[in-house]
Amino acid sequence: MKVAIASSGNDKQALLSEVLARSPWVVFYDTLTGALEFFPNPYSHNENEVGHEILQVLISRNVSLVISRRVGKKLKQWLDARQIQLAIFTEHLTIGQVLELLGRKSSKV
Amino acid sequence: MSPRIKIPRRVINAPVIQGFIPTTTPQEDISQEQVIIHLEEYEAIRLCDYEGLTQIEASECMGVSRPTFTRIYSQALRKVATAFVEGRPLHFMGGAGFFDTDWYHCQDCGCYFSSVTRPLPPDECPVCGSQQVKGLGEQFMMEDADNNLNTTCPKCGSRGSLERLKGNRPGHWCKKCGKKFPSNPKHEKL
Repeated sequence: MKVAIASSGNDKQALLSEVLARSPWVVFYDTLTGALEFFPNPYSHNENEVGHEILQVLISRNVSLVISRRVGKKLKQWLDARQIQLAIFTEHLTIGQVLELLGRKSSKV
Repeated sequence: MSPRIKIPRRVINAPVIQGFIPTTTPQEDISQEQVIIHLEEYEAIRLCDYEGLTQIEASECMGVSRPTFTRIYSQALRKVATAFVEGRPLHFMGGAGFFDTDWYHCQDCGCYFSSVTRPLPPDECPVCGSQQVKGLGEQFMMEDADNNLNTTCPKCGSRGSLERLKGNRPGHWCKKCGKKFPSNPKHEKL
């Protein structure tokens, strides 16, 4: 399963970003292979259509789970329409902590 | 004449908490004085005051007309004002809202997640794999539904025959006549 995580920085100590579309970095993690990539979000400073642009990136990478602290209403509707699952944390977790939780699931399989 | 059926209002984001308690209210008084804010009223405040949408945009999000949205919004503000002025606890519960995605809460890692296995509930949390997951629809709507199981069916008139629809779908159905009601009959001014 490929997972996209909204990140405020490009290391594991960075906090989970507030909103996916405008997060400075997006972490792509493959739970099967363990491959990890910090992707600089080129659309974070765009004025509009940010959600649509980031959605295209998610689709092109076959992402099936998005993890964030909040998601805009438009992006959420688009994710629902494309059957991409959404997970929201209200706590301030670091990317490392989120990866640890994902690893817990992988170890069960 | 049968009452007009209320269109269920779409709720995009569920409240992350179940309510607020004034700092001066003793624990034992909470259940007696609480102000109930329905999910659609919470959503109206979220869309207008948190997301900064206009009332027209917000009404489109919730799938209702603009005048209906204005009524929901003003009712929500009145309830918040009541709680603030009278120092009463606020509790999010029930109403004629439905989640556009079924939301679930993982008891282990604490995340809220949407389900892509509708109508079947998810087996496990997509993040940590825990099976300790609870539907938010159940969490917020069951309390209200349980209070209204003795409500009279608006179609056949039989008492105590209403049951909540299965899964996280909002509304009830009558065991006697089989009629389904999209929203809670309590709120339809019988």
